[in-house]
Amino acid sequence: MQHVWQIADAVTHGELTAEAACEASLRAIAARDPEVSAFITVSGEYAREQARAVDKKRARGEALGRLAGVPVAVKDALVTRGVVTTCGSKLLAGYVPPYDATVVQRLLAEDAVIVGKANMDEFAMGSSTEHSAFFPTKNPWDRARTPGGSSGGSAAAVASGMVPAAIGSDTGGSVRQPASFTGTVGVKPTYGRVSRYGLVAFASSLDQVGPIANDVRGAARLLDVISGACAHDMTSLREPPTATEALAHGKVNGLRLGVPAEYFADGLSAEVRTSIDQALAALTEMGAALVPIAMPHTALAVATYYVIAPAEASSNLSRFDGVRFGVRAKGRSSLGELISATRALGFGAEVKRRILLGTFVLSSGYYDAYYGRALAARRLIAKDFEDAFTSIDAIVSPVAPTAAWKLGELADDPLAMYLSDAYTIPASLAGLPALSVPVAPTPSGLPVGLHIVCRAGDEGALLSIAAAVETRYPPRLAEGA
Amino acid sequence: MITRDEILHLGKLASLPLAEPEIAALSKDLGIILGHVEHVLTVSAAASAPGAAHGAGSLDALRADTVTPGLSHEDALAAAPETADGGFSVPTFVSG
Repeated sequence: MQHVWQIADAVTHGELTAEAACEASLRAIAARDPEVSAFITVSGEYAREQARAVDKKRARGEALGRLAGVPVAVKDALVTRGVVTTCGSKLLAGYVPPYDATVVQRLLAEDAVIVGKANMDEFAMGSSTEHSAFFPTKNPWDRARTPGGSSGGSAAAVASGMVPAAIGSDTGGSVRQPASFTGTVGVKPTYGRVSRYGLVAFASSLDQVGPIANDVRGAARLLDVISGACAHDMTSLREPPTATEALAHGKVNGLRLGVPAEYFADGLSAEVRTSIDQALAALTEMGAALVPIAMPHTALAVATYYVIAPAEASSNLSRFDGVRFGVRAKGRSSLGELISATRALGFGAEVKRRILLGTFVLSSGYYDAYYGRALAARRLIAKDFEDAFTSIDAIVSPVAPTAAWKLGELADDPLAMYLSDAYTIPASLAGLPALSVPVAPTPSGLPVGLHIVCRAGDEGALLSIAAAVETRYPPRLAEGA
Repeated sequence: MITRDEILHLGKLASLPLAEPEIAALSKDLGIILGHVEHVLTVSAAASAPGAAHGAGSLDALRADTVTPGLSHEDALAAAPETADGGFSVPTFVSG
């Protein structure tokens, strides 16, 4: 297994060419992706051009970027100039964007090589990547199981060794839960830390782009590259990029880690609990103190999320009308008919469900009852975190109540799938940075992630604690990778 | 439970016509989901001080009004399903 920083160092020092690193990644994709289905688009020629440009830059004696020659997969929710971007939807099948997302610009500016666009649940709505309009992605650890979602393609590409790192997006857990299910490191930064410009909008007050990598240091380097203020995103924090890689040294001695009882209650599987308890014991051996805390509004989180996120989605997705981009229903005589027929044709079942749910909670007579109260509940959940952080440095818990479930297992039970995000949603509602770092797998070998949440803006502490965990649970790839 | 008529009304509001099998499935699924979502009805809208739930909402979102190049006309039209006379082509929507 090669890590992000190892490839970048080797390319920078002339021990490896970017072209060779790119070809190795494309070979791994050709060998493994037919089984895993992590990519919607493999951009071979586009990647080779970038790799050759990096090698030429070095040959000219120019300094190379922090991701020199590193092959990266990008979730298909981020637009890439000249490379098809579908967001997992038939509605955008064949759409070639005319510009790069800010995150993509920043990856390329640091000499990364984008090898393809990763599969995802349609418009990032889902927790299993089964809601992709094209095909489900399989978990590289057990191909009968889901890799999680919605950034399942990004996580599976990393876990199977096709790329050392990928970009995902996280609205209610869509980076952290797939990272947990695939044994990778996935970071959801503080809301506003990473630009959303060029990220196809799902729920704008929650969406945040984040890295998934095969080790903590790689995730830190990617975060440091993609973060920072952006003039095209008015919600981006007016702060310099993070500098977490230097802080990822793994010291937890003297830290107070809050353990919320609400995250260890009914619904948490015994095998996940065992893995998490072992990890917490390891953290105490390293000098951290575990502090029992209460997060009394946790039980409201999923309900709150499923008012706010669909409400925002129903508004954001109104832009898909078959006029300016995407597919269009044929043979319609009026504009209204054209728009309606295009949306009926292009959106999948889960997206329709959420648009209607959002339309319901925003409609006359229900707005105050549902949306107004959900906003109040969101503030109560955020206050739980504020109160907790007066006496602790970070909150630790499982990422998800179970390890990866079997493909199809929750397909007919949307509410059960929604509830599987119960531990990741609260930090999203509060806009806080959080990550998943691998701990001991289940007895049957399925990965399990530890969830860490820190204060707003404190990604350094987040990565530092994760690095400490990693010293006990070294990075592993799925068998055969 | 959410009725068939309510589903059809929401579909109309969302410009999302629904086929018969979808209506039945959505009526069942949305009923179950709303059953859970109703937990928020236990919260008083006045239960917390108004304001954003996270820090980014308190930012001053204004910046200097500087003109910068945007998408070219060609690029903006390039992904449109149909174009005519240098614009997006749609069916007639104003008569007379």
